Amino acid sequence: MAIILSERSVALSITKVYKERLMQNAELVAKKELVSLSTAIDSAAQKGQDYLSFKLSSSITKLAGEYKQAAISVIEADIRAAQYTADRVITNGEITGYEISWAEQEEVPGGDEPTGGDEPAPSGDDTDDGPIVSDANSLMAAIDAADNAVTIKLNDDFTVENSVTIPQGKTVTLDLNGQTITADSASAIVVTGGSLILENGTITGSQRALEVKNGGAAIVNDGTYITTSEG
Amino acid sequence: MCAQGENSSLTINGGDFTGQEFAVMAFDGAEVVVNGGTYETVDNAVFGTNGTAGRGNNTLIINKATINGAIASNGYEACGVYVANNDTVIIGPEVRINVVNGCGVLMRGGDVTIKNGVEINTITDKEEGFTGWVGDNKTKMSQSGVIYHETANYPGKTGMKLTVEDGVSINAVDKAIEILSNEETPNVFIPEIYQIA
Repeated sequence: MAIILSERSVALSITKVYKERLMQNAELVAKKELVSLSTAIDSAAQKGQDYLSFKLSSSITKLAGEYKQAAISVIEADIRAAQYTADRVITNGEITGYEISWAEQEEVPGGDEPTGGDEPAPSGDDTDDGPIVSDANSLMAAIDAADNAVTIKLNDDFTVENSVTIPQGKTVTLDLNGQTITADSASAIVVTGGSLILENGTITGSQRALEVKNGGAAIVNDGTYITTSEG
Repeated sequence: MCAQGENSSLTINGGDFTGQEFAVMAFDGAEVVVNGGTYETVDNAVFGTNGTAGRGNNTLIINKATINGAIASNGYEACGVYVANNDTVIIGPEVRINVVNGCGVLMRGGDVTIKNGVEINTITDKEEGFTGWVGDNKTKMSQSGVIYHETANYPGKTGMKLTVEDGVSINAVDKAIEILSNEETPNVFIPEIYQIA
């Protein structure tokens, strides 16, 4: 009986850790989605629009039940904090996007006190707008310069002589944007205690496309990763 | 792709991963969670851990993945998932392992669970009776679907355990499940269909 209980305990522990990781993943994916949403709103506002149809990415819609719900909660909390008006877009019973408006609300005659103040809507997140990079030096500089979570997007292929390092204290989303990083070093990217989300492109390394160590965390959402040597 | 050290974690939700050897590795207490993707190597195991004493205690959870293994080096064979230490490994439910000239899963330690819905296929273009090394060059292994290799005497073998759930499909050149053990009662829990009287 003691053995059975012990085995069950181990199994429950593994399940708990697994679920915690998936939940952390869902929250990270949601924060990345908010970066995309913020960028889309800024772009729309610059064009004079006061509304936006925002479609959730597959990183959100493909999440399993409770994890998707957690991600949705993070996104909608941020939308509420920004005091935008948003309607959910429902497709086949699932939330697939939002119709978002940031137009000033007309006061309803005889209505309740307005709930919003006169202050501008807060951005709702502390994520830096993402720099766009086209070579190894600018990529490393963008990582070094990031105080908060940052999304860095590539707009060209390039080669790195030394590993790209994500040190402790840095939270980086690397949107490869369909481009390719080729590494001369054994590992193309090394996460040494920091956090990294990686997606949407190709990384070719000698021995490892990505290495995570010293308590670092990395999430790879998609892309192509190739190594060419033993080791 | 590699995760190393306690509290290091790598989560892979999708993508295509091609390695000369070991598309994904875990060392020294790391955690790897796979929720999708296609993984291939051309000359060694596809997923693996390290058998050196003290480099185990990794957690490897693989789901919704296709794993394709092959081999090029003379004397060696391919392997889908190589568990070399006292690691915790859960494979499935939605995993397909395809290995050419080698074995599907080889464990020399740890706690390995292969869940309902996993499909393991080994095929060969070698001569009948082909065997090859995996991880070291001490014992040549068969092209079985799953191998419990306690007799390798690796440091992580203490308490090693294999569980294969009902509903796992194994189509292998050699045995579906091969038990290499000196233990009177190996710590192996497998469906009745795979048990040899």
